[in-house]
Amino acid sequence: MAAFVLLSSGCPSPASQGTLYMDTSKIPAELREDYASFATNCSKCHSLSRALNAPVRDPSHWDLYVARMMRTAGSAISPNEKPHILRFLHWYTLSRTDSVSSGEAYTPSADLLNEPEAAPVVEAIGPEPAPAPEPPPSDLAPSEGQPLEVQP
Amino acid sequence: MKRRAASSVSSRSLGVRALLVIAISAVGVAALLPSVRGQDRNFAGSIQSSYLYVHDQEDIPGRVRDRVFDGFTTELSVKLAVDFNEHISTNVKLCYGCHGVEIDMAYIDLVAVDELRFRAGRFNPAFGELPLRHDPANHRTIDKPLPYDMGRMLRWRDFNGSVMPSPYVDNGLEVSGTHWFGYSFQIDYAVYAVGGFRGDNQDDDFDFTQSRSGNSYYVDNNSRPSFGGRYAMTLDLAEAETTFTLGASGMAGYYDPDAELSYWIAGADFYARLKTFELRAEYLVRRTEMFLGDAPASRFKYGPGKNGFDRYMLKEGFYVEAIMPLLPRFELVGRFDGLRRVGNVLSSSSLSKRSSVLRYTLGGDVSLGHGVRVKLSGEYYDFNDFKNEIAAMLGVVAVL
Repeated sequence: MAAFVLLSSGCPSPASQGTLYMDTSKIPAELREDYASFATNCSKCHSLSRALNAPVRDPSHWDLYVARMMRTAGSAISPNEKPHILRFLHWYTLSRTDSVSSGEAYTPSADLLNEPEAAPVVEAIGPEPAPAPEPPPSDLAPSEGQPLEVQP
Repeated sequence: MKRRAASSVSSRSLGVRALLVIAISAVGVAALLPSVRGQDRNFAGSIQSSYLYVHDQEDIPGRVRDRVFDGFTTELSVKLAVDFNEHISTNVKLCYGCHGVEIDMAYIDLVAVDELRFRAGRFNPAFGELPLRHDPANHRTIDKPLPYDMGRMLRWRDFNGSVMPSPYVDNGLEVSGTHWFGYSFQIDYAVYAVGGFRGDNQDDDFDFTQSRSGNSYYVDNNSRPSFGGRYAMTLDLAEAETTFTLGASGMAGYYDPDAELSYWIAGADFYARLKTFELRAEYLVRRTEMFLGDAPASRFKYGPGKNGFDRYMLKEGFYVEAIMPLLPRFELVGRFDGLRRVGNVLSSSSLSKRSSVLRYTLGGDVSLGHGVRVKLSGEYYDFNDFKNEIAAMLGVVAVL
């Protein structure tokens, strides 16, 4: 029993992601509320470690997954809480996959919170857009302001 | 008997029509859905290993064994969920436990809108609150509450199990949906047609092993669907971190191969969250028709009443469970549950006509990190037909 109490009051560690405990000091201040929404809603049916330890590398995975969880009877995940949960999970997944270093500031998308049915968050915090295609060879390039003529 | 036969035909016809409507609707929805554009696979699972200690267990009348210790009871589950898009997903789950390896889920999920969803295949029919979190990684105690117990309670064989052993898995079709009124009020419904519980023609109760045995290829034993449903209302006050859910469930059908022995189950459930404090309560009751035979006087322990032998027995159970986080990694769990069987019993049974057990559980749950938790609980069983027992359980559970 002594060991039980000792374990339960142990020092926090970034690796500790169990039933209720997560080292929230690692979470950017602007996402703490999102984490709280995630913790409150998701712990109703399962441990938080279910989500935190899931082998997810693509943040967009959570869009479908949370939508499925919302349809679980009595989930209590309301349409306006969904973006909060998603925003935390997206940040968490990116931070785990080193796309965002844990100490780096995270700029959340304001649109996400204003529009519950907004487009997937990954667009707001996802990787850099793909580079523009190579320009055509100079002899085929149209002059400025002229449309490109397509050869038959 | 004639009236029953007529009723059976009518019920069967109704069931077939209901199945047709559901199947046609599902096909229609599938045809209207956009084409599959990709897949998103999710692997999940859990493993729980537990140890049970019983002080002075009386396993058969007159024989008391000192310090009984059952070690290393393992429950394992692995699940693969594939989201093709927001309308189509599939789930396959394998479980290993005392019953061996079995398929706990194998279904296709079609979602037209949040209010209309179809599940077809092998799944956990919507009944009550606990089945939503029946996986050992999802509930805080090692064993399940008595109305849902599946082999962990003391005297399980004497009672022939609980009201509805969880996870209850069956094959069939389910239509369900959820709708939000604003941001605070949610309603959920589910109706389904499944194979139903199983037993033999001359049984006095279900034979739960038939429900989870792959030997019969999970085929309905009487080709007569059982019907059921659930309705729940949820009030979510996000600002106050408070949630209330109230639900009601029901199910009815026949369990023997000849479809002569009927049963119905009803349940009510309540859930409340006040910040981090959680309270759950459920009540389940099942009425089961027993086979009387030509000579019930020699088959049953108790004689006939004023109206002859009563062919029905009632099994009911309840639990109230409270969870309170006390330390960052520690939650305290308190539970009070009970199970009662009312009705005649076979002459070989050790139960009386009204046999009951009340159980008091105090436990804790410690997070070690990385999805690993240690569960510990002490339980006091208060039987009316047997010697009272004290038990302790220790388990470790990990999320895969």
